[in-house]
Amino acid sequence: MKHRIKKGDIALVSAIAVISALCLVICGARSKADAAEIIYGGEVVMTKALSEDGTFDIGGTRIEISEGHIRFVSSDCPDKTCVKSGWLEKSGESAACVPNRVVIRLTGKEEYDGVTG
Amino acid sequence: MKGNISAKRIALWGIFSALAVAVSAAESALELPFLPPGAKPGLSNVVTVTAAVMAGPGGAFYITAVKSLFALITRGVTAFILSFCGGMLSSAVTVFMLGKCGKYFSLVGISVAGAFAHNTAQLAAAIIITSSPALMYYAPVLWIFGIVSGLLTGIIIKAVRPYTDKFIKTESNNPTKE
Repeated sequence: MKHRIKKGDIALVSAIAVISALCLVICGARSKADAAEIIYGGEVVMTKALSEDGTFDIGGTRIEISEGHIRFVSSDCPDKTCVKSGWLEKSGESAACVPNRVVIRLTGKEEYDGVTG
Repeated sequence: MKGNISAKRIALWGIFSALAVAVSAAESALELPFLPPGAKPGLSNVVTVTAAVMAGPGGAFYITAVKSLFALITRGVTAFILSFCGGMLSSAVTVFMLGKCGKYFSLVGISVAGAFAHNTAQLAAAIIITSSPALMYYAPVLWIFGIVSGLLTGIIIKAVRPYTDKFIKTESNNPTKE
């Protein structure tokens, strides 16, 4: 059944491609981030300046900041998807450890109320 | 679906499920560098869609449940939830489109829709679990790779059909014609 490419196929692929491209363009103008929000259980529990190197633990994960980048170094979760996300450095980027409910989100503005940790 | 599901059909679902789990496990072992973290090529959907076409819509849901339970056992509760949400929406979309949309969509388009549904449901579940809408950042990239994945699985499904038709004779409950 259904051996040829049909109109709906093309319409669907085009629609998804266009919407994705639009999203990338709108959110895309990304510059290097100044700070990272560490979100745990849905709340921003700390905001870290990316200029300050260091390592800290939260919710079963270990996060490292170095030379303006941030990443998950290690985690006790089964998949380690968070660790595999690697280094983040541009504002808007994020990485998450879903089982531990830890999310790193990079922000571009210097709007953080004090550097903790 | 008709009242009684034949034993033959359930046996087929079992075989398809084992195959889907094997493909899925093999895929997880490959970490492809150009994919976003956690994204998979989704080749087990070849099995799911083929099962839905050949052995009734219930097969797709059954396979999803088995895959999710496998994820539960090997990778934990979070993996189960993400697999279940993605798989169930994907199966629902696939089954719906197989039944209703044959005029406008081929198996390739249905695969793309299934991949899109899978990514979207899984991302939504991740956002809910972490309570972080920030993860929506991943959506465009996942969707684009979903298109590629859907196209690939659609092509494989079409290529595989002559062989599966030959080896498996089933009573298909599916109202769509060959």
